[in-house]
Amino acid sequence: MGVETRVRGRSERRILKALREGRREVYEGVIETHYASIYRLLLFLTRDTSLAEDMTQEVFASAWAAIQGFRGEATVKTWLRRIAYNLFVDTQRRRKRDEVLVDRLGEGDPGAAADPLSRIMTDEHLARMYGAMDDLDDEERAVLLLHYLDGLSYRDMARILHQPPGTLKWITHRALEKLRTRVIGKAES
Amino acid sequence: MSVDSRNERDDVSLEWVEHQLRALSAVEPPRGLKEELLAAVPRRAAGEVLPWRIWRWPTAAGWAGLAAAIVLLCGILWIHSPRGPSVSPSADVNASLGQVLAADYNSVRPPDINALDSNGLY
Repeated sequence: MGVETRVRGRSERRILKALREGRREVYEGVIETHYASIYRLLLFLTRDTSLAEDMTQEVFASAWAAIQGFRGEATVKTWLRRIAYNLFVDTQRRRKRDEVLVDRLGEGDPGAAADPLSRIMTDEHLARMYGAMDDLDDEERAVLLLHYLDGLSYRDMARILHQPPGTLKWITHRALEKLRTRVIGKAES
Repeated sequence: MSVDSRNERDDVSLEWVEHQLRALSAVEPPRGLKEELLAAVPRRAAGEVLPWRIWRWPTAAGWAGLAAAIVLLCGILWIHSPRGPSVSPSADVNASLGQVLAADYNSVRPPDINALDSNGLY
């Protein structure tokens, strides 16, 4: 175990202890550090800004409710993403959504100007990439988002997605290849 | 690198895809979301510590202690548990055989048969 890992481990234990003790500034620090990435993960998974916003709040509410039972086997970062992903899977089971956000934005939604996605929609490449992600399944999308947006290692992703790291590497490569093909397809069409 | 031209389709490499994926992190959360999250921090996190809520079962030491307590309790119960019937000699003295002899001795028969005979009619 390296020095950095040990320091991080001690830091994580301190954070967890402070959360259990109910120290507000630590709660605020955790929100500050993780809320944007949790929101992005849920946004690209659900393809729905308001749903992603609601679910982000639900993730933190669930986390605070479960903080006494969290033993710290994973980092707070991994733990929060696992809650988010499980929440997404549960939501997907409840409601099979067919609509995609790109279509909704195209309908001239009056709130679109304030929509956080409108920024990337002005970038042609990013818009194309976002559109191409529609063709990925939930697991492929989750793997790419956790790895490239959040910078999670395959080992941490394995804790969230309940798949061996080797399988996740393979899924990542397959999803990238699929995405590349779709981007080319969209560029041509 | 561009993907706009059909002639450049080979330019869409996996590295380009990876780069664009990372760029998706430019999406910012809606304004007000952080404030809502901060407002939803549980009340007890505002410095109010409830000791019985923060207690948690210690993992290894707790289970080892529980196991030791169970073993000790079982030992005490075993030591103090009642045994089967006693086989000591003193019990034999007062056993049923002794009672029979006593009963024979004080039986309802004539107190002295030999005396009866000697004073008989014959």
